[in-house]
Amino acid sequence: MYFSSILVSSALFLGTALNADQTKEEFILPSSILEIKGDLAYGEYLASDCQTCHRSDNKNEGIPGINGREITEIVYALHEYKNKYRKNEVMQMMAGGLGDEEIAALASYFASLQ
Amino acid sequence: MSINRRSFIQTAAAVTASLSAPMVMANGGKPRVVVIGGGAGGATAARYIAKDSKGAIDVTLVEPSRTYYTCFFSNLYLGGFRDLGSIAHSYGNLASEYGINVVHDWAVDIDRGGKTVSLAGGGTLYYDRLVLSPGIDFVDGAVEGWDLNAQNKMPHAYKAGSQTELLKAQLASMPSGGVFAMVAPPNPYRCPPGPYERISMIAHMLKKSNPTAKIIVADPKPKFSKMGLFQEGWANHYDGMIDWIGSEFGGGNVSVNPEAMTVSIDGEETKVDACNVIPAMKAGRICEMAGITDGKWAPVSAHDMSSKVDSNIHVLGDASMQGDMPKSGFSANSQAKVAAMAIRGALTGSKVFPAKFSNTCWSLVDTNDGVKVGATYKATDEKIAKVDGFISKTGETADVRKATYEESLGWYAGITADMFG
Ligand SMILES: Cc1cc2nc3c(=O)[nH]c(=O)nc-3n(C[C@H](O)[C@H](O)[C@H](O)COP(=O)(O)OP(=O)(O)OC[C@H]3O[C@@H](n4cnc5c(N)ncnc54)[C@H](O)[C@@H]3O)c2cc1C
Repeated sequence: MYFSSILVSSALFLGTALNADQTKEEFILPSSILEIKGDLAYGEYLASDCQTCHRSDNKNEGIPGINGREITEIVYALHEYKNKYRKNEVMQMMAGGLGDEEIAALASYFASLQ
Repeated sequence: MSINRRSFIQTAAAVTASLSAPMVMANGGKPRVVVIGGGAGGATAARYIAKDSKGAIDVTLVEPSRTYYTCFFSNLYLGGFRDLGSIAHSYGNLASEYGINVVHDWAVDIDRGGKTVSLAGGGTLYYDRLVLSPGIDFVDGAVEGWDLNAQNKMPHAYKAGSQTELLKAQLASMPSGGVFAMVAPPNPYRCPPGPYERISMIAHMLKKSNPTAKIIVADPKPKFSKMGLFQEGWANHYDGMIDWIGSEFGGGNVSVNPEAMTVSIDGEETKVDACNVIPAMKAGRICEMAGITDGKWAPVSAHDMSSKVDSNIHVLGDASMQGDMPKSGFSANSQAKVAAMAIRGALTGSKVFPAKFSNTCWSLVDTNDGVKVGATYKATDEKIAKVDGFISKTGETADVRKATYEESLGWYAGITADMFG
């Protein structure tokens, strides 16, 4: 895996009690992942699964709206959940099933929304 | 429905092609989708087809009720965490914002040859694709002594609304130290953790208003969804109040007498003050009438939720036999999106992507004590197959449990907005 060495080395420093803020600078995605151009139509279909909870009107009633966030922010968040660098079992599971192309597609789509 | 009516429609359709021609012109030649059932599956499917086809598909939603009370969070209403108004939803937005033709009526027959749906009010709807999401009905004779005529004495409260109100009122008027019994259903049924979240919520309510009351659960199963989590919660919050009798102890050998208000479990009769009978379930009756069931449920293809009997009909949610997904609102909503995409693809040529499904069920055990179980799924040729999943752990901290509860509030707000716009 492309970041297995990063995972192992930073896990040594950070121990087990990781949270998003602590890992932000430690969790680094290679440019090959960050440069994938997301397919908007595919992102729109995949996003319907997210919009059961992340409301399409972007309101936060216990689960945050994610419309209009930066592409890189979303790509990072999903990879961090996928690799269990961020906590939340639902998000770890949802992101766990996504490939790099799918994450890019979702990020492009949500970034394009208001 | 009567054979006369069916054969009339078939003959009319076969003989007079000219009869259907004006129908086509009247809607501008657009393909027509009829959705039966405005619940978790049907409302979502109607909304997504209308929204994403941007007017290219004519969508009609048939649903008898003007107000949909979600079963999800109806247990929280029993526990006193929500009022009834907060779980009530109307179809106004689907009509005004999405241009869906909402017809408040019952579908009483389906003619698959002529592709028509007959309505109780006498109308006929023509479809190119039909979506059936009618939820569940109860299996006749499943609990000895109980039938639908007894539902006011011993409510099922497994379709939300007046039944849920009735159960709550009966619980509130139990005498001090009285007995409440639940007859739990056999697998498979709507919402696997539902009966046990309900027990938790009833215990929460009784603990406050009637702390010496007793709760008995007669269960035909040896184990149930999130069992460890519920039993941990019952011991922590409601110690000594709940007596769960599983199949090993005769919990499946049950009869009830609604007139005498007695429940007999494994030959032992108990006088009860309130009783919730949740019988065995099957697909909503209209599936049987359409001739697309195999046993109790309607088998579907995992790729697009189309019926294995008729590929112009898609069956969603509880009524479908699809594989590994539990019968939940979340599942029905997820399946609806796959079907909506496939239907748009078939009728307008829009792009179709491989099906993906997910589900998470949150349950509330006591104030701020939420637990959850979830999984992701993919379509195989055989069934909807589980890919990955998780479940809350016993012994989690109060903070984690509170965050889980708060997440469930977000989910409720999200899914109801996703269904009704
Ligand atoms: C107590 C309880 C708690 C639950 N909690 C949760 C939860 O926390 N999370 C979760 O995800 N799920 C939960 N569920 C399950 C969830 O409610 C169902 O799985 C979900 O509603 C299924 O959706 P559906 O579209 O198949 O059926 P429904 O939502 O029941 O919708 C069916 C609709 O079809 C209509 N209909 C039926 N027959 C006809 C006909 N012939 N013509 C026209 N219309 C018709 C009905 O009026 C109804 O409105 C719970 C269920 C219960 C009972």
